[in-house]
Amino acid sequence: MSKIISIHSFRGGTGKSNTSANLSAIMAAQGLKVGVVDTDIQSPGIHVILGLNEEDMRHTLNDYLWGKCDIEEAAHDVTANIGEVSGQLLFVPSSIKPGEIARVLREGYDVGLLNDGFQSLIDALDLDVLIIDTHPGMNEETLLSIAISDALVIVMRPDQQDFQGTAVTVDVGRKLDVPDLLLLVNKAPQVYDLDDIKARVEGIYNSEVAAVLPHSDELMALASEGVFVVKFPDHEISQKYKKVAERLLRD
Amino acid sequence: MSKFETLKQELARYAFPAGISTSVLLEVSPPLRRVLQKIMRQGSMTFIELSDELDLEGNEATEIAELFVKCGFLKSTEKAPSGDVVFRICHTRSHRPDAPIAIWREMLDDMRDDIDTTDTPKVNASKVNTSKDATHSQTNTQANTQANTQANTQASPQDAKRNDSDGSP
Repeated sequence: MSKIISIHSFRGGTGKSNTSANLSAIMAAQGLKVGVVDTDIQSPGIHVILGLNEEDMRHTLNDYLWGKCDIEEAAHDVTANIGEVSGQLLFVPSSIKPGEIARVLREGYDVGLLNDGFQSLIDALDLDVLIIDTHPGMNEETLLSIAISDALVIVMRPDQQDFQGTAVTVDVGRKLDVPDLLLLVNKAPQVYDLDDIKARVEGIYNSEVAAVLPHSDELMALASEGVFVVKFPDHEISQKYKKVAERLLRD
Repeated sequence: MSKFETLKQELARYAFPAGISTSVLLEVSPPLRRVLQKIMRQGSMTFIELSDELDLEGNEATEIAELFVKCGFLKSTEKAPSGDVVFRICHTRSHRPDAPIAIWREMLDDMRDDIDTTDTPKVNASKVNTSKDATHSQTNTQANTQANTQANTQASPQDAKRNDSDGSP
């Protein structure tokens, strides 16, 4: 049975797309057939990390929402961009054409179609895992993806603004009975004791912290040009991402 | 109160002629939310599945299913090729009226092809400020603003009385 995992954060810039890309690459490397959907229609970005250029996007999520194609036609096989793996990584990008982003903002779209699209994608591509990379904050796609997910990963930074927003997201996740709710603390300053951060965050939200990832100059220097776990497989952060993936796939 | 009556009473409070936003899930009671979420996750649900989920039978199940549709939570469709009736979430259309104005401005260049330029008002060249005029204009605006501020702070006793009587600040 396939699993739907939403990667979410209340605020932008927490490393949500990087988390989605790294977890999906790890799962594909484990032999799974993984789908990733970029539902951040307003500000798409994960396509850069997964190495899909604009000119190579045959169809996008926007095309599907406007009835121009089936959802599986918008899925691009980006497995080659994460090295030689036994699984498969299929990615549905959001359009990065300003006019098309504007159209969604202007006209809206049929939310039911987005929900149907997730189910169709799992069925048509026979996916083991579907990872939904969401828009930060609360909106229609975010709530929908949380409502239908088997697991929700809330990415946050150890920052006061993130702390309040994350509380809202945890509340929503609990109210919507997400079966598996995990927190991932990202970009923690190296001067902090990471175990202490983990204990504190778990205490505040009464939720499991899957990992505390330290700020990394290597990750910053990569500047989204590739998937970190592929470029730096032995790095501390990569090892932590692998543990998060294992935890998410555990029944 | 029976489960049937409780559900009936709750459903009677809602009317979503254009379908529901996902945020409605945060407002409804847990039993109602669980059913709606399950349909959302599955994509659709047959009448039998819905009855089982609601733990209702016969006429009670039929009445609640009809209420779900009437209130705008669900829509019923015939599933091909069996012809069985299935219920699906009736989602409202997503709109984003809160999009920042700056987004539109920045996207204007890309949207230009879609805009009917024949409706654009002509620019009267004689009324376009040169940089010198613009400086004068700015100076005048500042002067006017100062004058207005003074006028407002030196309001007449009559004005003050009028403001008091109509409750204006």
